[in-house]
Amino acid sequence: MSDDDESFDLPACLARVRGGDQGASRELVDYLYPFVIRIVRTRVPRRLTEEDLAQEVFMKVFSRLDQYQGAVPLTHWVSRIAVTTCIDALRAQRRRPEFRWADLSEGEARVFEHAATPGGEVEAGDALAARELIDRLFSQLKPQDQLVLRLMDLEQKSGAEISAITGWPTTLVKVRAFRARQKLRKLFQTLERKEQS
Amino acid sequence: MNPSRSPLPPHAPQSRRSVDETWATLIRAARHASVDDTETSAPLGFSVRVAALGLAARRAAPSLLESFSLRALGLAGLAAVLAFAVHFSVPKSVAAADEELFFTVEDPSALLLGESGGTYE
Repeated sequence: MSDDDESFDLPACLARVRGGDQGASRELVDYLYPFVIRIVRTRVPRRLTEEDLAQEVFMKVFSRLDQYQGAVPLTHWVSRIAVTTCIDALRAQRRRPEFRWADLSEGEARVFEHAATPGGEVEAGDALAARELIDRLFSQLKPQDQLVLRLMDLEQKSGAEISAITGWPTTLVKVRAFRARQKLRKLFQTLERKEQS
Repeated sequence: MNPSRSPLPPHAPQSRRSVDETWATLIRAARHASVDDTETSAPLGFSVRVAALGLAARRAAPSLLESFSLRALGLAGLAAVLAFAVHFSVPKSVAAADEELFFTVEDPSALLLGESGGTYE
């Protein structure tokens, strides 16, 4: 979606897609792709294939297009499909081995040490290692809890914004965030215990 | 603790940040490793392939009437099977009693007319 969004006649395109117009379908995919791919990239770890996930999102959009009545903006409706698809993908990855200090890479271990030391800061060059450590910690959470914390902490979204993106009530968003942080505390304690052993 | 992994000098204090502070530090650092957002256009051929697959899926999906009809057919079949099962699962004692009654009375019409035999006088 770009600056010429205003010139793109979305209702007409949707009507043509519903009529089976191949050209309109391609236009719709081109129109929505940047929006969908941003959602996918920021909500799943890098190891998941973003193109496959994006395709899955579009397949659901096409199959459910008759259910879209225009009560909410199309991007909101597509966003919810993308979010649930990402959650399903995270759930499918959920065979988590035990989280161990020995599994951390040198960079991740260094980053954790710096972050846990009073006055310590993570160096700019270790940002990627920090991101990978965060992804590894996130992978230990339930998919929905993981998603909430990604949106809240990494993307600095408010509870209301997360509620709009996911369709979950604000109270549920807060409960999931609380539960995720509780789990993270335990993971940190596990890491520190293993580190010191 | 593996010394090769510890960036701290041996005499470093053992105090640690709280979990929340450690997490906040990690998150701040991770935000700098921002996701590559520069390339957001669809890969070559993606739109054509996905559009074709999407339309094919729409054509293959049953219409609302078809879905409803299929479900109604399924329910009707289930009802038929249930009726069949109930009919043939009449308790044996009841069936035996009916059979005994039928064969002990010589005149079947007595069944209809009662003990008196329905004589007309």
